[in-house]
Amino acid sequence: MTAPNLEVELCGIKFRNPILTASGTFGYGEEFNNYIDLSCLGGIVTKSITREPRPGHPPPRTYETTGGMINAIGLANVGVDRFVSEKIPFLKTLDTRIIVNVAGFSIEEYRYCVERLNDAEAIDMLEINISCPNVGAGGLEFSSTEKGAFAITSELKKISRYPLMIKLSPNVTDISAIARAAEEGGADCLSLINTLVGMGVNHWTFKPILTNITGGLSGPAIKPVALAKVWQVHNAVKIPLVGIGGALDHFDVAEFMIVGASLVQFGTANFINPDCTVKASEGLVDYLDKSGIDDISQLIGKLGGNNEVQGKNFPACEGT
Amino acid sequence: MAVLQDKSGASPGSQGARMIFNPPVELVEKEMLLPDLCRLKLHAPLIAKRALPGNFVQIKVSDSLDPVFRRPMSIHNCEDETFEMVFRVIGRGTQLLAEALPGRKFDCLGPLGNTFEIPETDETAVMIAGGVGLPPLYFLSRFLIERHRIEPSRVLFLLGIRDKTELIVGADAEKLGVEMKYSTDDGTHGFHGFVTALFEDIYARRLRNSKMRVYSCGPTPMMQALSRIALSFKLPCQLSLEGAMPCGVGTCLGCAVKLRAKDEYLRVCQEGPVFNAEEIEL
Ligand SMILES: Cc1cc2nc3c(=O)[nH]c(=O)nc-3n(C[C@H](O)[C@H](O)[C@H](O)COP(=O)(O)OP(=O)(O)OC[C@H]3O[C@@H](n4cnc5c(N)ncnc54)[C@H](O)[C@@H]3O)c2cc1C
Ligand SMILES: Cc1cc2nc3c(=O)[nH]c(=O)nc-3n(C[C@H](O)[C@H](O)[C@H](O)COP(=O)(O)O)c2cc1C
Ligand code: FES
Repeated sequence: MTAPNLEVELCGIKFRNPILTASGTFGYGEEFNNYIDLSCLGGIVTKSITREPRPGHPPPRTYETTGGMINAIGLANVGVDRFVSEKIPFLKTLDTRIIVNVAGFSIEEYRYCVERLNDAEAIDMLEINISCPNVGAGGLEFSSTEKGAFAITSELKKISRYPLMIKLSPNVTDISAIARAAEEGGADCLSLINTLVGMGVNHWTFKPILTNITGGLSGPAIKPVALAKVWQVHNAVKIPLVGIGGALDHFDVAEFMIVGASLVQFGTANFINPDCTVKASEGLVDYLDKSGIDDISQLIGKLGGNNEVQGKNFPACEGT
Repeated sequence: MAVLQDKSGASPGSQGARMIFNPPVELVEKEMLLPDLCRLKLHAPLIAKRALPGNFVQIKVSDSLDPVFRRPMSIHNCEDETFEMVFRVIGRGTQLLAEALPGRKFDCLGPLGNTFEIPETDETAVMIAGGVGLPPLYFLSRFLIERHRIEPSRVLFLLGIRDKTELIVGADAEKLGVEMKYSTDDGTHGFHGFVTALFEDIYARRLRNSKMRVYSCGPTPMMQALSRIALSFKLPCQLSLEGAMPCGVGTCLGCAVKLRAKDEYLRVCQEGPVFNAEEIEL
């Protein structure tokens, strides 16, 4: 039997497998380089970069919760100029796809970053973070209104030489409407979800745990929310989707793909098991073998109805 | 006591070798030193071979997601193929570690972080530990004596504990033959008061004119106080910091510590855990 095909094409770019690392959880790629083989990944999404370097929020910045964590890092990053001079040379050496995540506080700031990155090498795609919940009047306004999402996407689409992936926030009333606005603005694909607003409180001192008071909830606890959002948006737009939220292993990849994602990002899981992405890509081969599927793309958007069985050959499917 | 292993080129005072490992480490020996103080010896040749004083590990305490994150622990001691940690049981993670039985295997990332600087030949090494801040300083003391052939009498070890029932915390350090002084919060043994006050006392009485290098690990208020003292006496002083560490390898930016001079943060797990006192703001 030949090995199943894990390759996925998205916006004309071929990814070795559907597994990406999520922004903010994999640094700029270097930190894990001496530990896992980065060429086993479909791609790396780098930490959000902004026009100016940002120190981030005062500690404590993270709080462990049941099944996840809350973070208020505050978009700490080296700024786009240092990113290009200091981080791109390393990223250039890697045999995997590079998606650079861009954040900002105004359209001008996003535009500056995109123009600067247009001159750089080694980048395959940009992910536009319009959904960071941790910065005052930040990108969130672009993701919380249809008008904002349309405006930022169409502005950046005009100037970017790379395909644009717009990263959506779950902290909105109707994510499908925002997704459609980004699609109309020219987004090549969408990624979702960013973290959910959450907070921790110390019941002895009555104080908030995080200096920033609220932060973003991530990790396995948010996977059901993420699956639901991907499924809703899959039914609302035609452009491809990238699923994010609580993925830990190859089964999670399959689930995100079944509800409509073409690729899946692993975030918090990198902190729990730094080799989770490599293990998940190995696990996918076994999963596809067992299910009798020879091309992973066949999973995308194949959610069945309650009485339908889409998967094959699963022991657990017998009798259902 | 076996001489510490050759560290394959990793030099103390530097960032050390950056290769990290995540082998399943096997618990070979457990001892409850106090009802809430535990020592574990783990079989982990790769980590034991490369660990240097100051390094730590990120140990996965549970096979489930409860708790979600690994727990950072200093390396207390290394023999040929094993390393030890000594820790206080304070919450869910350390409780699970303390309940483990020999034979149990853990995922364990390490050795992580940077290392302490080695003192100059004419300097006295003063270790100032608060309770379970002792492990990295014990490892450093042993390393200085065995690898750098520093006379034990040139190491002054000050340990602050709650009361005399905690004397066991210092037992390993006592065996090194270093000069050992205790402070207790309630005065039941040694100096009555904080270990930083003990240091000021000894400094005023006999150390004022000697060259020394201070190393410290313990609760944050203790290290804040020590920072002030070290700065005012202009003493070279290195602090090993503790703090919540989701990843331990530099990717989450969660373990930030602020630089004194500018509005910038360093990562405790990557640029630390050992910092020069004058460099950082606690
Ligand atoms: C580099 C480093 C070395 C350390 N070495 C030692 C050692 O040798 N001996 C020892 O007893 N302790 C050491 N600690 C502290 C130890 O990691 C904590 O006591 C432990 O994480 C508490 O976990 P818990 O689940 O029992 O407590 P919980 O209170 O349930 O932990 C909840 C969260 O708070 C964090 N947390 C709570 N207290 C601390 C603390 N004091 N320091 C860091 N994180 C904390 C945990 O990581 C976790 O995310 C070290 C910490 C660091 C960063
Ligand atoms: C510590 C941390 C930092 C993050 N930083 C960013 C960031 O800079 N930009 C961004 O778009 N998302 C950021 N995220 C969100 C993740 O990319 C991801 O959307 C989210 O964590 C959900 O996925 P997960 O449950 O797999 O972690 C961060 C998440 C965490 C946990
Ligand atoms: S613990 Fe993640 S950067 Fe230090």
